[in-house]
Amino acid sequence: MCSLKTNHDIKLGVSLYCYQDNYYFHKYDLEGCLAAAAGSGAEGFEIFPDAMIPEWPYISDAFVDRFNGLKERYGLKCVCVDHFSDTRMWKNKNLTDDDLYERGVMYIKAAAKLGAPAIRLMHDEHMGVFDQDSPMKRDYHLTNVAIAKRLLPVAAEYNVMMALECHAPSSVDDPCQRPYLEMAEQMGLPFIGLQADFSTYAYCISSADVGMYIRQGATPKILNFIRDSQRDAYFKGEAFDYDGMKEKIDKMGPNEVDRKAWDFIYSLRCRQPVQQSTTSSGCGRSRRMWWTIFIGAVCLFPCATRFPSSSRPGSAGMKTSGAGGSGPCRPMTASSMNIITHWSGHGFTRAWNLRNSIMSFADGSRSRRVSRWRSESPSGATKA
Amino acid sequence: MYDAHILTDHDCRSVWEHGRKVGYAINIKINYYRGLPLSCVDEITLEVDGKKVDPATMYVQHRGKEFPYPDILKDDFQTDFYWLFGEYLRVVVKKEGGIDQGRHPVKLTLGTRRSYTPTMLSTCEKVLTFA
Repeated sequence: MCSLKTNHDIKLGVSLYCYQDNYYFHKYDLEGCLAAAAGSGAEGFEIFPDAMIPEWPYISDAFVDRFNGLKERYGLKCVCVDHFSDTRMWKNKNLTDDDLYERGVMYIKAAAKLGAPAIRLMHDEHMGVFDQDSPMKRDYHLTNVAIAKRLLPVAAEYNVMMALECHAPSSVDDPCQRPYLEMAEQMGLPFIGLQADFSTYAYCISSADVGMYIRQGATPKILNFIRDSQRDAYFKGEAFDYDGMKEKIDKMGPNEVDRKAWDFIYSLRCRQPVQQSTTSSGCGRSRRMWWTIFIGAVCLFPCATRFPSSSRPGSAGMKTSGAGGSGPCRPMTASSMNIITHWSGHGFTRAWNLRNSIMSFADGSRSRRVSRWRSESPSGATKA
Repeated sequence: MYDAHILTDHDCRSVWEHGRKVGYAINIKINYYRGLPLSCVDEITLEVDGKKVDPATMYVQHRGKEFPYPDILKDDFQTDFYWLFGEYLRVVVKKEGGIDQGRHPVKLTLGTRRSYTPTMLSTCEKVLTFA
């Protein structure tokens, strides 16, 4: 067995979503997924309740008994429960804010019942803020700051951290995440943190998306050309020219599905190569943030993270509202992942860490950083 | 997502009651990356042997409960009854005489309303073997 267990403060965890195909095709059941996670050397896992809890949205005591037994058997800790904002679950109306709040409470209680220290909160800005004409723009909202504010005391009562999912094309350093942290600071209840989805490191459309659009009738040649061009630009260290690409596609005779795919790609303008010089500037002291780093293939948990000044995140250049998205972003390099973390299974310790992170966010260096974004980011990148 | 797999070979068969065939059943799976409440199902359309199945004769069976298909489309259908990721949803078509044993072409159109992204419609055509 390839063991990835370490003595480091940061631990390896696996989102059980990684085994989605095996689960969907009934090759693994819940225990199979946990066994696979343990076999990979993980020490923690994230559970998808509406896939793997049989009575969901209810959780029976019998299930909890079995669940605890499985955790014990495989030496795993449930570190996160996935929260969803099912605003459109009714046919004829959207959930109200009160409904969303109650759903949030349900997930917090579920996490507490399962012994998980965090929920992955699907907040309204989990994919950033979309332009009005973006196909991803919603005419309803998910759990927003106001609802999160109502949830905060409940999270504190149950000692469950609400980890904001920061998903591509947003990122943990997207300014739109900040109101949540500031709200938690104002409330004096440090139970909101940031969870970096590995999708934030995407630099091209995924092969899965290419396949999906091809099945819908898109032209493989066009989509693969776009993807290859994105990869090419990234590895050459060049900014991807979205507008130029659009002209090239128009000449290739795109069909309706191709255009739909392009709209999707354009709305999720992937991050651009990072100029190292722009990522290593900044103040000379380290700053501490409270993060849970998850998702994708693996999750690294839990975490007060510390970015050395030489490897701090670059900027908010992935902001979807930014024209062309050409701002500098975090590199997926050893330096960006060189996060010194602090494994703390105890709620008080976690709380203390977040408190410090918020304080560092609220100090003067933050405003300097914002101004740096403003000066370096493309237009609109600091809207939030 | 999973469009090619929403129609399954699992337990396709005539349904018997009191010694008579009263219909047939097909098991389908969700076309999404997670489970959804049954209230998020917007459409289940079946074509068997090239003929569209009358929705009024369709019943959805799940977790020991049975709902007439038109009922799950109603505005006030309960939201705490989940069709979990990977779970079979049994669709029973009431038809006197059931279905002949053997292979039948089946087409399924499944529309699920994602709770936070746009609705997606999936279509799957397969030749299924009925018992």
